[in-house]
Amino acid sequence: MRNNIITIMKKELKRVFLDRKLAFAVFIMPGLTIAVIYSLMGGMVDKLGKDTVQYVPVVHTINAPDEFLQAAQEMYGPGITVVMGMPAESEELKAKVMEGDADMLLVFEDDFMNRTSGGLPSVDSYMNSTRDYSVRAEYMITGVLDSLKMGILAQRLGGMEGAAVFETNKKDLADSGEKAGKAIGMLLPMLLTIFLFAGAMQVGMDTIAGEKERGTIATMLMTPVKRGHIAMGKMLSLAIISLVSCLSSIAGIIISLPFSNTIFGGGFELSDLAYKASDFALMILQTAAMALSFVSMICLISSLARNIKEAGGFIAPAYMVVMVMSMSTMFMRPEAGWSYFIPVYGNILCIKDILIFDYAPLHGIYSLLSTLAFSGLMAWLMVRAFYSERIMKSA
Amino acid sequence: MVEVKNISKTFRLGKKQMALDGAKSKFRTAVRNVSFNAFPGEIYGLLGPNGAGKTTTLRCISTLIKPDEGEIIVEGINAGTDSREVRKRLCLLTNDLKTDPNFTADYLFRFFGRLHGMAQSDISARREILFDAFGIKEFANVKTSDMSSGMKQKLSIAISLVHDPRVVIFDEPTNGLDIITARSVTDYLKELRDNGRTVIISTHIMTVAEKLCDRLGLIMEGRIAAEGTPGGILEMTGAKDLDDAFFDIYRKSKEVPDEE
Repeated sequence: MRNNIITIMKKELKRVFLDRKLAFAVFIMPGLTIAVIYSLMGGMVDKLGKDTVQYVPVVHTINAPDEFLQAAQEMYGPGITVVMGMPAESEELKAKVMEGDADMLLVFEDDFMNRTSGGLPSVDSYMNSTRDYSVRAEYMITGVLDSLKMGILAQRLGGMEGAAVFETNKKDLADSGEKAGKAIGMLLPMLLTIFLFAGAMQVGMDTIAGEKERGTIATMLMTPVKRGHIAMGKMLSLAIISLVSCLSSIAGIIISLPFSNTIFGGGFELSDLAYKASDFALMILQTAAMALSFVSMICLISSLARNIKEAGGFIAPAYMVVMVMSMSTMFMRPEAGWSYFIPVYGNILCIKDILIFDYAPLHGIYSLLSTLAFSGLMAWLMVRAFYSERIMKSA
Repeated sequence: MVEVKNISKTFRLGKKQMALDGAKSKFRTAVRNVSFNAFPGEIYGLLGPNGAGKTTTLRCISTLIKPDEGEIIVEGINAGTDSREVRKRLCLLTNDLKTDPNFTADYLFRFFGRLHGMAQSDISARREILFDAFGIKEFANVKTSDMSSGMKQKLSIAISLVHDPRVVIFDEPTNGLDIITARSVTDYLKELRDNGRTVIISTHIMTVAEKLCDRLGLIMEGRIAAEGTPGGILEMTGAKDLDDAFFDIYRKSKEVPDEE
């Protein structure tokens, strides 16, 4: 029995590994594409950030008091350009901000400083939130206005000491490893899930539906091998293929990390990720369980389809569901333990928990049990499909 | 030996198939109460027009599908209850059986040998015999995707025969083959018969039936309308040749009212 499954697995693996084009598409291409795309994306995000920080915003003002100009000069020096304007130019300057020709407009009430002693004068600020430079200008000007406010308060209360009520000292107690884990734990489980499914899908559609379409599966069905063993051989080989394909994608991410660090939250080094061997073992276990559930599902769909095109159509909604599940774990981490019973979703949550150093063994058991039950059900249905004359009639 | 006892098979048609066939019912009975025996050392031919039920009968014998009624015994084993044991003893070859385009002839031959539970040495011995008989040696290491359709057909035949089955079933054995390949196939079928194998073929070509088959079952609209040796059928109908005999029986079968 075992020999037959292994014989079929070897054939399926040989088909993919020895076909240069297919092997390149399944094992090299994903990693290569990800490494290039993430490096480029990381580079662009970095460049954008640096550009914005180095940019000298142009802020137009109307009726700006000298104290404001002085505060801006003290805070940013040549890092900001403040242009004085006339009230009549107000509409023209607003239009400039809208068009992106100016970054911000500040309209102070007439005789602003004198009014601060008796009333509550206003400053109207105009910016364009769709433009990064305008957002940067607003951030800087908020600081300048705060400084101006403090200056006025100090005058009222007779010195800066009187204006200060308390001071805050922020200290981040998280260690660098945990910070790195949080950063990587946000995106990696989602990426891992999608890559795993994509790897299985690419070959999975062909492994059964393709054989039905080409008429090659009937030759196998004519052997004395149990149909269940044929199904199992195909499923297990696909699990190996999807795992290797997923590893390629992960390698792509690791290669790109020096350039794509910003995408993952930034501020950490690979050496900060201090996972233990047991963490890696648990991650591999959860990933393998997830791979099994994907391939069993894809194999079932592939068995039910008459050809590759139909299989593609059937698999697409399943892919969407998996994508939604994986994306939801980026921002949510449910408290309820039963969430870990949801096949696939539980595995993704566990991988995230391992990455952020917050793994609960009981949750791991829940997720593995549910995934195994789900995979078992899918495999059982697939074997039933292999015995069905209606489903296999095209064979 | 193969004993086919009163088998019937009905298929449920899809909407597309119903429209294609112009059928009013969702169900189509492909085979009705078909019975015949095929003995070791003979070639039994199922002769009939397209859609008569030949392929369905052969697929039932081969255990690819199960008859709704009736029983099939292959070498003393009930195909309905022990299909795997039956598959160890027979092979089916049809034009629908294709070879995987990603592998060489040699790999596929050995792969199917292993699936039949054969030892490596036995596979090699069979390889020598069959690759020689069908002239496969020259392209043994060529991927099937690079082979001509004749080469692929030869390889399919060799793969089907890897386990040296006692019962050989060929659905339209010469269909789509060039004249030389067709001849090598029919010669090999005769050789199998002479070696005591039970050979069952289906065909709609009269000359193939006449030259190759020891006994014939004329199948029409899912029923065996006549059975006997080619000479016996000619005698029974009084026709000059099998072609005329076939049409004579076909006309008479149309006159028999449907039992259902």
